[in-house]
Amino acid sequence: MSAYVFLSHSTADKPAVEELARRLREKEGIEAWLDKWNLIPGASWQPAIEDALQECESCAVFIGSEGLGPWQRKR
Amino acid sequence: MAKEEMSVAINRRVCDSEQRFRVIPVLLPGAKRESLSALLVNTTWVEFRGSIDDSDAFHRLVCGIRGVAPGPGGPDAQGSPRTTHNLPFALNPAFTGREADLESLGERLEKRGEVALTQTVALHGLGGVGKTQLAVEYAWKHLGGYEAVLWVITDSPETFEANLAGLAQALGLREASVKEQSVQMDAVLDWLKGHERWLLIADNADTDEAARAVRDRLAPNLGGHVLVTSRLGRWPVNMPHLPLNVLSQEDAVRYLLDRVAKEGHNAGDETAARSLSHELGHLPLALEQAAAFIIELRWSFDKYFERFRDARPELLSEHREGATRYPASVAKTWSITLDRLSSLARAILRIAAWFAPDAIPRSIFDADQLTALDRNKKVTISDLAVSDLAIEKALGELARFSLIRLTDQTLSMHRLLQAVEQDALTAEECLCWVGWALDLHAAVLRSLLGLKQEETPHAMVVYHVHQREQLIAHFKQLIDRIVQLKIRAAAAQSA
Repeated sequence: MSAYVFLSHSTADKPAVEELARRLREKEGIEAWLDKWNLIPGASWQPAIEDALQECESCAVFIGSEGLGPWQRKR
Repeated sequence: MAKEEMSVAINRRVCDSEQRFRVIPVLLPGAKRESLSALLVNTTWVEFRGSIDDSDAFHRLVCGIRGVAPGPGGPDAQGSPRTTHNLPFALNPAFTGREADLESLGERLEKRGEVALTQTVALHGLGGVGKTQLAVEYAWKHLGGYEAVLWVITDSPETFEANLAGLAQALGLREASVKEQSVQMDAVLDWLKGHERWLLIADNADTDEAARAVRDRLAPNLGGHVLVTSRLGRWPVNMPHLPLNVLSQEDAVRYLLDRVAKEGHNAGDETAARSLSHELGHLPLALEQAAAFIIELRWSFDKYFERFRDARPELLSEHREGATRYPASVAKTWSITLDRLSSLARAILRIAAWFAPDAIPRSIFDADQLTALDRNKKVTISDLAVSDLAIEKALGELARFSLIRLTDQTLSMHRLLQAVEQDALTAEECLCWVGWALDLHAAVLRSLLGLKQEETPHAMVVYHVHQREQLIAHFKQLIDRIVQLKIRAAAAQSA
């Protein structure tokens, strides 16, 4: 069974996180949930995230040079 | 996207799942560890050092997602219990700034080719600029990413080899009980060859011989990371190096304020700290010695500043034993390097000591002028076989020991190094060297103004050479220093 991970990150780190997500999939067969890949533009995103989180067994919280984003800190 | 709402969603998921849901904090390159405190502090984290190509960090991320232990080859994310080390200092609570330097150091160390090669980086700069402290900071920050962090004092080839052999004990090798140094050293080198995630810090490789010993012994096929700290400013072209400069004004001021505040002492406000830091040229060693002194005697920054102006030689020779991490005073730290210089390099340094510290025109040190002026000087230079090439070589030598910074047109010298050079002279020697500085300066002006050899440029003329502002700054500094010398001489006479 392949693992499924939710990637929480701030906008500034998106390129790095996206690259890591690609490597997780290609090298390790780990499917990552990344908003840019999994959200349909224009569609309501909140149910999608709730669903994704139910399916994921883990969440990687990425911290970049800017520190935590405001919403990450709240968690 | 409304991030707050996403936060709510994640939060709900965490609460629902009774810990089966794993949260893995991941530090991307450049992220500060302090940010972690906002997350679960008792969990492990993953840290990408240098770049997202950090394979160990990737391995730990994968293990975290799969919910398995990293296992052999993947060091514990929090590291320290499993990392062998013999670091001589604890993490320095007063360490300030240097974020960009730490990052550059990481980038250079983590840069790997296709084959596992020893990545050796030289961290170099003037004595007292904080090379060792930066190496300690880096080592502690990245301890978790290494199997072993090894400290080797490298004052001379002999000390280096003895300390390298001594690592047998730190690494728990059975050869540690063997008497022969060569057997121990071979065992240590074998260990290094058999492992990849280690950092070896060769501290104080300040001579060519010591630097060569490091390169010879730690062959490039060992794998691992080698960090050399050194005053030597020239390294092989294929070897990454990082020049370390004094602290920024902002960091230096913060350092002074924090250092005394941590000891429960209030030595004054930011303005006072800024004046003192400027006077000390933002040099970490001088800042630390001053702070230790201020803390011990419960002085204010202003008081130290005033005393520094009157009793500079004493304060620069001051070392509070046990109160700082530095082994010696400012004056002593440099004397070792100064004593090693060739006579011509030392003479140039003694002349440069009287100009303003930054951007001294290289044209001041002109072989013809030095030879022409030599006839009526007490301290002669011509017996040093002065030629343009010899002067260039001497400048190169000074730069190699990080005593000056060279550009194609100018040289710069730290203000405290100027102070130490001035203070080491007798009153008579002072007049002699300042005389050299004045005459050489006048010679440059004379050639700029098209004056004859016997004509001395009048001070007013100097001030009218607007397009030569740099020269004027140096002229002003010279005059200031002559005035100070006269005041000191008068004070000595009346005493």
